[in-house]
Parts: sequence; structure tokens; C-alpha cells
Amino acid sequence: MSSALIEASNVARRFKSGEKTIDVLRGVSLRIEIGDTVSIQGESGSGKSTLLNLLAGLDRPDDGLVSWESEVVSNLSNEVLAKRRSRLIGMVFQSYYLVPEIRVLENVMLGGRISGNTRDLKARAEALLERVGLGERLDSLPSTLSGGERQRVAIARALITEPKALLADEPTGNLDEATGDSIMDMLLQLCSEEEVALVLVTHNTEYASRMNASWILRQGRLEPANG
Amino acid sequence: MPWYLYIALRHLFPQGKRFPIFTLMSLTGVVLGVATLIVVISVFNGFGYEIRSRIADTYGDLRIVTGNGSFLDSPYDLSDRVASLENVESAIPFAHGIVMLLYKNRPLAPIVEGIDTQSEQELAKYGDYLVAGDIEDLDDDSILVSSGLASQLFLDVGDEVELYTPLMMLKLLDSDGSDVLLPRSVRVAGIFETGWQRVDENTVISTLRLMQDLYNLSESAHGIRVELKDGADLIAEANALTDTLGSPYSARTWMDAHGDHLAIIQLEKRMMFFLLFIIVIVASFSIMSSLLTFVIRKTREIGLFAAMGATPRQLAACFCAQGLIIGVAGTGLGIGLGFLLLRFRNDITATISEIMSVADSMNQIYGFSYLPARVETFDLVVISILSIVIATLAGLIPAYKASRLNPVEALRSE
Repeated sequence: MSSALIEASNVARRFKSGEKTIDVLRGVSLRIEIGDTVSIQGESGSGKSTLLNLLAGLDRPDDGLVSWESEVVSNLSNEVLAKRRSRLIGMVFQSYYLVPEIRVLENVMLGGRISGNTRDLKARAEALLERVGLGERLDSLPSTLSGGERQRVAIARALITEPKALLADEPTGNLDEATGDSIMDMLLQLCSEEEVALVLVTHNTEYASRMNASWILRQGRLEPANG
Repeated sequence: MPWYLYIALRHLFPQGKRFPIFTLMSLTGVVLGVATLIVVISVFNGFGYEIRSRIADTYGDLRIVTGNGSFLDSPYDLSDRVASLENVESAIPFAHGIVMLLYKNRPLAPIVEGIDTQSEQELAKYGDYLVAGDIEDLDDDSILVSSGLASQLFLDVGDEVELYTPLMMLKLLDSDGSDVLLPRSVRVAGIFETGWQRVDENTVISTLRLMQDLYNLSESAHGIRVELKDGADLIAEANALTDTLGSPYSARTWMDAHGDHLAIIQLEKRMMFFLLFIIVIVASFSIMSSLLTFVIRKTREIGLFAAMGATPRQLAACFCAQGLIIGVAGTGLGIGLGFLLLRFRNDITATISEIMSVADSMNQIYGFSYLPARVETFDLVVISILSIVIATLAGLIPAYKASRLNPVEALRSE
């Protein structure tokens, strides 16, 4: 068996709420290979985003291990983890999180600047924005873009670092159905062309069904969606 | 440019937007603090420098006198010897003392400074300060009077005045009453004004010969007035001269005679520096408060940067750099504003004095008819470095807060 790109082994995550301890994840295991497309569904509060954050190294499990390319990352320092993440993982969020003070092109280039991947950065950013259909909006400020356009910029920003995996947390959650569909089409196409693994957290069963593998989080455990 | 510096700049100066109020307020505090410091410290420097210049012109850098109070019998031999020394620009004999000056039965007791009219350099100095008359008219039967003296006695150029010396009084006391006191009549050849109240109030300049006659000095003098070359160390030269000339001569610096005035100005300057620096510290609290608010406003953005691979140190640097940028920009603008205010200081003070109807108060209180100012590079460097350091330190707490944010919680924050 080849080494996994991202692997969660029996991870658990608990949160305290007053006197109570809530077990959000109870021994979840998930393996993502290069080029995989994986969806994670579940009810609100089921732990989808928590799992995604653990896979991204933004959060640390209480039990179990998360490894990237066979290296356990749960115990790495924040500094080292941040550097590794910037080269391996791109993230897309429901709320886009564009930097409002800088123009579209600069927002995309920012991803490259933070990861240190600055080779032909401007040209690559322009090309990516062209591919997401925003070649004419390079100098626009985020506040002048529609929701769909903002998410396209966010996707371009995530891909500028040439990541091996893209973790998307409900990327269509704030968009209408038609715009959401077009964003999903674009996301799948780009990931396929770039051979980037996609982990999609979504409520939308149709989008989930378009992935190679679909999982549902129930009571802190991961189950196959079509099982 | 590292991304965190770029973002710091863009947070402060966003693309395509007007100047944000946060940046404006933070900058204004630093600008005002730095400008005020520069103006006040430069004015204190100006006072000190002007007083030094006037003392150097009227007193000399050094005066060589005898330690036992005796006169110099061969003053020109000594002055030639001193003038030949390495760091000495000029050395000329002088005599000074108090006389009673009588004009139209109005008496005053000014200090008379007898100068060597053979020295062109010495004459030129007083020539620069003349407001009436001609320095060329100064001879052994005439005097120059200070502007304060002239105004008190309503003196004008060409008026005849009478001088009585303490020696005349002593002679009269020693006589059996049969002697008649005959004053020395002299003409006012000119009126001078140095701009330093202490001199302008009550001083008479005469030739050395006239002073020698008045004080019955014959060819003697009271001492040698020494001007040093630029850059010479005053105290070191005074000590060297005292050692070289030997007993009974000793060299006294102008600071020995007038140092109290300068010491007060130096003390005031230091006090003002510390008091006014509080403005910069208050401004730094404004920067800190604004940046802390900014960190809260930008919490989700900080979470995003962390998700994109920003390290905690880079996140801290981003906010620390904002303090640094405000410090550098505020200090630069503050220096500019300070220089602008200094450029128009006299117009500003004149307007304020006119509005408050205290036009002559500065002359009366400070002894200057204008506001002197002198910018010292050392002061500029100290003010700039301290302001930038304080502003940068103000960014440290917000920076620490930003670097300690949990990315997941930051992304979830509303």
C-alpha cells in the first residue's frame, strides 16, 4: 500500500462545555491518497469542520494521530506545522475570508507569499484567475465582487501554493444553487487537472455523490455514506 | 517584501480606499509628539546657542587674569604670547569696571568694557550690533552705549555725557574737601544692541585707552580676552593656558562667569524633554489601543493566515510592523512639521503676542527680541529613535495577542 497523503488514525476530539465534556470525534480514521476526492457529510455540530481542522493541522487531536505523507504531525510545533501546511494543503472556507484591503490579484498572490512559493507568482496568479473566470477582475477590490466571484478568488488563492490536497469547508454554503453548482464544477475540474486531492465538507448530497468516496459523521464516528 | 510587512502596510494604507481613521489617529499622536519635542528642544538649543554667541562676543571664550587681583603691567607682551598658541584665534588686552554715567542730571551706573580698537576683529563684532552711529567714530573721547541705557537716559548719537569713576570718589574722600571732582566728558559715538538683555540693559563700550585713563591704569590692563579657534575644547584650553602661563595667571572660561544661565537652560531642556516625551508615550497607548481593536476586528483574517501557513512569529511580526510603520511615518512627518513650525516660529510667536497683547514680554523675560532656535542632529536622532522604539513597543502586545490566537477559534469567531 502506498503512503497516504493525509491520514487520521483513530483520532478523538473532546470539547468542554461548562461541566460537560462533549465527545465530538470518537476514534475516527480516514485515509486520503493523491488525487482522491472525498466528501464528509453530517448534521450541524456533528464534527465535520473539527475533522477537517484536524486533517489540516489547525487543531490537535486529544487521542489518535494525524500524519501527512507518513509523518506524524500532531506533535509538531506550531511554527513547523504552519510551514508544512503551507506547502501541502490549501483551504477553502464557506465565508471566503478575502483580505478586504487588497485587490483580487494580491489576494491570490498572498497565498504564494505566505507559503514562500513565489516563483513566477504574479504570472501564476493571473493564470489561475483566468482559469476561474476572473481574468478581467484582477484589480477589483473584494468588496466589489459577488459571493460566487469571491469564492472563485478564494479557490485560486488556495491553489496558488500548488498544494497536494485541498480541504474545502462547505464552499458553496453561502451561495445560491446555480452559483454553487458552477463553483463545484470548477473545483472538481481544477483538482482533477492539478491532481490535487479534494476533501469536501458539505451538506449537499448531490455534491457528495460526485466524489470518489463519501463519508458521514454520526455520533462522532465516520461511516460510509452509501453503506 | 515579506508578506507580513506587505499586509501590515495594506492594513494601514488599504488599496483603493481613503486614509483610514485608525491610521490617521495613531499617526497624528506620534506626529504631534515628535513635532512638539523638536520645536521645544530646538528653541532651548537656540537660547543656549544665542547666549553662548553673545557671551563669546562680549566676554570672549576665556579671560586671563591674575589670581591675586593685580593688573597686567605689560598686557601686549602677554597677549602676543597667548595669540601665538595653537588653538587661540585672538588675544587682546581689556579693562573693565563700573562708572557713574551722568546725563542731564540723571545718573546710572553701567559696566564699562574697554576694548582694543586696534583689533579689527573686535571692532567688527561691535559694529555688527550697532543700531545707531558708526564704529569708526569710536575714539578715546567717545563711547558706545547699550540700547537699554540709551533709552533710560534718552541718549542719542552725538550727546555728551559725564563719567565718574570709583577712583575719583576715593580721591575726593581722601582730600580735605578742597578738591573739585572733575568728570570725564565723552561723546556717544553709537548705540548697540546684542539681543541679550543682560548686556543690552546696562553696558558701555569704550576704548582700552579711555578705560586705562578712567581707572588710572597707565599701560596696564585687567586681563587678556581670548577667542579660541572653532572646535577647541574650552575647559581643556583654559587648563592648558593656566599651566602654560604659570602663576599668577589663570584662565577663566565664560562658563565660570555666566554658566549659571546656561545651566538653567540645559536643566529646563532636559525637563521639557521628559515632560514632552509623555506625549509620545500617550500616542503609543493610542497605537496600542487601536492595534488591539484591529486584532479583534481581524481575528478571522488572522485565522485565515494561520490556515494558509503563516507561523505565529509572522503573525506577530505583521502587527508589530504596524507599530513600527506608524512610528517611522509619524516620526518622519513629525520632523517635517517640527521644521515647518521652526521656520515660521517668529511669525507664530509675533501673532500670539499680538493677540495676547504681550508683544514685548519675550524680550523682557528671556532677553531676546526673537525666538532663537537651533536644531541639533543628536537631539533629532534621540527623538527619532525613542519615538520609533516606543511606537514599535506599542505594537508588541497586540502582536503577541495575534500570535497566540487559536486558528480554529479565530476562524469561527463572529
